[in-house]
Amino acid sequence: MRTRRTIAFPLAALVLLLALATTGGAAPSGDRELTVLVPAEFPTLDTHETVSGDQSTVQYHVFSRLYTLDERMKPQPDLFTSESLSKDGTTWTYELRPNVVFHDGTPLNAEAVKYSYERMMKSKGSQRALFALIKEVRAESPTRLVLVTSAPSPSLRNNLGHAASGIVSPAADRRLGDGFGLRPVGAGPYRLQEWVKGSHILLARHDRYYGARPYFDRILFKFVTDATTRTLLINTGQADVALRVQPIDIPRLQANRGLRVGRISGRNIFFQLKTSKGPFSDVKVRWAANHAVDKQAIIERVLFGAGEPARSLVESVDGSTPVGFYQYDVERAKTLLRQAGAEGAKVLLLSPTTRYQSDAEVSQAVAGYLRQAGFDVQVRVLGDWPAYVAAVTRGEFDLYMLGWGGSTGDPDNPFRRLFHTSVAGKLWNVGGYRNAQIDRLIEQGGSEFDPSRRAKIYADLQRTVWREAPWLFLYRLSTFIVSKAEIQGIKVLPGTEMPYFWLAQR
Amino acid sequence: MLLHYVVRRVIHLIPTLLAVSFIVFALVRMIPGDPALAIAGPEATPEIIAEIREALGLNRPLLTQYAGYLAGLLRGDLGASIRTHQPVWADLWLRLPATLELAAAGMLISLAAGIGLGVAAALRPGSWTDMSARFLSLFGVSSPTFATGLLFMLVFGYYLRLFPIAGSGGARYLVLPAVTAALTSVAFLTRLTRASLIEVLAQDYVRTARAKGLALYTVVAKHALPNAVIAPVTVAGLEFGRLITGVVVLETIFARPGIGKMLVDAIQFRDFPVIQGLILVFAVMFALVNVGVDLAYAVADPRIRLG
Repeated sequence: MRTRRTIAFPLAALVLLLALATTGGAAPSGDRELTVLVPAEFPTLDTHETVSGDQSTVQYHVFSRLYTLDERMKPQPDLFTSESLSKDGTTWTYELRPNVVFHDGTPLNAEAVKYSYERMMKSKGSQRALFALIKEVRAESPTRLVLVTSAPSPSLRNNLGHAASGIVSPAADRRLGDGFGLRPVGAGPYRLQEWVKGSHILLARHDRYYGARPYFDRILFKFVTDATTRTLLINTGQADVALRVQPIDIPRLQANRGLRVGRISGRNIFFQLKTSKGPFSDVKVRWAANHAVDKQAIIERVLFGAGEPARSLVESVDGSTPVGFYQYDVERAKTLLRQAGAEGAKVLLLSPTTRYQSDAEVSQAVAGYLRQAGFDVQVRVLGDWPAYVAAVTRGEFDLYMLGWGGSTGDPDNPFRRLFHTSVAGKLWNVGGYRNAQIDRLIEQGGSEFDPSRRAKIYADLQRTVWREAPWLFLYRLSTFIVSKAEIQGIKVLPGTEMPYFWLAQR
Repeated sequence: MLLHYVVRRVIHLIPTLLAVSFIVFALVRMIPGDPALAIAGPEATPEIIAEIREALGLNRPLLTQYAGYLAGLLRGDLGASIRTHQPVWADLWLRLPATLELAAAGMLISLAAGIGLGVAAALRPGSWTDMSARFLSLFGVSSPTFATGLLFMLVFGYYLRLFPIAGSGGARYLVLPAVTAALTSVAFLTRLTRASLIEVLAQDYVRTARAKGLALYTVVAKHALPNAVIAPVTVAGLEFGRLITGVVVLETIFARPGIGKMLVDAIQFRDFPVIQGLILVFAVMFALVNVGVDLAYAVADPRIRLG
């Protein structure tokens, strides 16, 4: 009996602690609040320093833009009422919506747009390239804005619809300086009410928003990094929406009738092959690699169904068209390898980890298939993204994994960045693909305004690249957004796998 | 005497922390991967990346950069985040409480439960209490934090709904992560307390005390325990280091806004000033706890002289 007393104290203390713990808490919830579970936090909300999809989601609510992308990544007019383009295709004149105000009450006029664009062009921001072709911005009256580009630029509309092209309040930017990224002021449907680092961002409706009044009074973006935690929270009704739910949890969530599982077909995942030297400089070896890998099996067994076999290069962009499929055929792969005299070719496969869904596992599977076809594969998995990019930049690979979604929805940027000779050997054509015909098609497509002619140019481009196979084509990745069944109207941009909620309701 | 001792111990910390600051400074720069790349994002052009490198001063020699950093440290300035341009202190200050809360709760639980269970086990070796305490401690040492964290979340948060699954906002949210954080330490402390108390209870003076007719409780509490807890308390100081590393993982799993999660994010973005500042803060916390442990010796055992 006396022993009991010695353990009594610590036990009592524990019980007391637990009892105390169960009484506190319980957040008071107002009416019409939407709780969204977001996987990754970001350092800033400055629209001109956009890097991640999760960041873009919040920015898309806080800032408004000249255009807003719809679910097919097509730019729709947002801040203007009319648009005209000069005959030579370089001068754009916009009549802006009158009486638009920022969250701080200052007017959003042509001067403010000019201020924002010039701020972007001067910034160190990664997305400055979106504005590279803009030569001059003129505010001719409070509502008349003129943009002059250095060359005809049909991708301009998409670029100006990107999350990085938001219009900032000049008054707030001047007042806050470096602090603007933490207390951003735009004219979007929601304003920033609170940002508790590491915990959440709370947005409140902008009552003087020019567009349709959003249904939700507030949107609470909660940062929950761990995927299992997100699944548990959404499955117990402790959140309204969960982003990037892992594929393995999907069957269980589908069984919950109170939830809706949305599949987003997003970025393409592929291996870029080193075409400048080594075994993959021979097109037959590249074909061999493409035939060696069973894409369907990888999707089913490694990705748990989170993908579709690729039929083209970057399938979320406008103008993407199915151009082919390399059948899984080991015998054919072996024959091609023999014809190329490259049996037993040594190749170094570079893989990231935790960048894309199951990336390192997929790399191991691909390596296994390549070995079956007669390649001698060495796999190197790099710790995290910056380390991976460093190795890629040094060219330490014969093939490396990359994903590309096309964040503006326009095909010009991805194709120029991935295949143009001017970036051969640099990011992101580190594989060193060179083809004068492709360069020409990229240039033509980049300045062609006629939609049907442009579509034909890019179809040619996709067919040619597919045939020349500078990549080992894999699949188009799916990500999953899970929401309560009663919530309607969530919009998603496939290129960035990014949802927005101002049209959503319960 | 005591004050003199404390001051001396704190002065001794300075070279240690200087060494830590240099090692961390050099290490973060040796990790492959460039902050400019992380800032610029996956779609950036090589020209933009080069410009950002230049602007960050990453092209300057390592020692020049360190000298600048050290000069700032001496003024109490940890530098500014290269991502948010805000002083490292500003964010740190906001997020430190969540971590301290978790570390302190974890430490309290591990001391209370570890010593309590250890004493219970030592008093009746081989009994049911002893066996359960030993089983619990075996479970504690053998389970990694991230696994027990998810297990507790599933059992107590998801199925039983006793506690919130994740998040922050009051003591309710603290229970699962704190218990998880404490578990491994509880295990060690239980085993250690049990072993050293059994040893002390076999000493002559304990028998003498019992022979005088003192109650077992008085003997244990007044005579045996103060001698027996020296080892567990020392270990508790070291366990604090483990607790802090556990916190980094737990804050991610339980979505708590502490500096552990901040560190993980900073590493991913290669935000050098933030990484340096946070590790320095962890080092200071660890060092101070161990100074505290040394002081606790003196309180527990007057034979230990400070000097």
